[in-house]
Amino acid sequence: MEYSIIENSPQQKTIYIKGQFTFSDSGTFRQLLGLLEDKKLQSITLDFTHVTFVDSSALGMLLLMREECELRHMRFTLSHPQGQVEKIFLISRFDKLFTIQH
Amino acid sequence: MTQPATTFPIPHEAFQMLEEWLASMQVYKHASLVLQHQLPRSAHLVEDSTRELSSRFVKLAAGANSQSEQMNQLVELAMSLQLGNQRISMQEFTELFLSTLEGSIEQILFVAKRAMNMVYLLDEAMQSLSTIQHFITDVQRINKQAKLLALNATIESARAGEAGKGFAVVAEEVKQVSQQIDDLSFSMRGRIDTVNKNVSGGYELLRQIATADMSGTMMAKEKLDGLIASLIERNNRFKDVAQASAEATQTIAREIANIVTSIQFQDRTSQYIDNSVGLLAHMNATLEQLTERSLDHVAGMEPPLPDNALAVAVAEQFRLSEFTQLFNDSLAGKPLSVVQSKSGGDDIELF
Repeated sequence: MEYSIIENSPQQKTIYIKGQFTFSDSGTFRQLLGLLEDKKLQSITLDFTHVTFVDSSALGMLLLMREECELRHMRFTLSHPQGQVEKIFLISRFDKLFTIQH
Repeated sequence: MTQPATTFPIPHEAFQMLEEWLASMQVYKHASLVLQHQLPRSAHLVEDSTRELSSRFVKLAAGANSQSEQMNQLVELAMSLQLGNQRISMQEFTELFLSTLEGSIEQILFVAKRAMNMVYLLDEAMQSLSTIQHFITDVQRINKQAKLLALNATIESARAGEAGKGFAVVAEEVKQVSQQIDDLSFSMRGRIDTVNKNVSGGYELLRQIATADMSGTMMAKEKLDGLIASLIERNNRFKDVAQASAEATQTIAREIANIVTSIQFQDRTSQYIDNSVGLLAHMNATLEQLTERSLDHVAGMEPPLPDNALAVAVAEQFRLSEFTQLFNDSLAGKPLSVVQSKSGGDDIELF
């Protein structure tokens, strides 16, 4: 996967990811986890508009990020999942665990 | 022959007419006897057929009732499943099935999260190991310098001669310590390499666990949801059809019961026939008395013989040869038995 970060404000960032999101992206995702160290940040959104596939380890990474955000009292939002991604979020009942924007 | 005192003559025309009447009555007497003989037989026929029909319909109704019961059992079976020694409804089955599926998906997510957590922890461990390896390289580099220093010290102590002897001993000890440090760092490097290899193996295992992608299994839930929904839909339709069928069968059973009740009113037929036969017998008896009186009171009146022409005409009215035969037998003086119809229908089983 690839990603780009848009800083809407010092407190809010949106990360646009692209392509397939799988185990092989654990290193890349570690960089995204690193973003949470920014003390000013209050809210982070992961945009899935251009994500075509997620596997279960990707879901594991998202759950880890959720945990890290909770520790830091940070808002964490998943936005615009499509196709397989939307289906797997639904099946995993992610709507109960995350704020999901459609 | 002696005439009774009350005989009286009548005019010739009247005498002839009376004779004609009496001859006709003879013919109708025999026709009436045939009817009295045959009517009860038809009552028996009706009764036997009715009994037969009735018992067949009773069986049919019993069959329809048991079919309806079987249909209801089928409906009950369709709407539930056997689980061990417990019967659960389709509704309970669906809930159990979906909650089991959701439970396993939760487990998959739990494992995926833990696996990724381990991946990141191992990353950190490997980074620490790599730092330690750098430290050891530093130690070895410093140790090399120490060795060189010890060598220089040995050379310098030799040059100092006797005065440098004590110094040479220290230099030798430094050399030995350096060698020990060298050995130690060599063995530490070996150990760390082993740990590194093990951690890498663990990482690879973890990668395999996390990449044993469960998303396919998770997507199967969608199909299973669809399957369950279609199973329930099919069962509901089956239930509706079976229930409709059970109801239709019950209606049939009720209709059959009504038919049987209607049929059992054949009893009336028997009563009608009894009445008719009785009336015919009474008519015959009356005619007989009238004939007797005519013979007694009309001077010169002879016992009448049946009117042949009328007998032929009446015989033509019988369409069945059996009737014609009986009529002719009766005319020829052969007695016909008069059968009484079985009265009442109380031996017929009513619903």
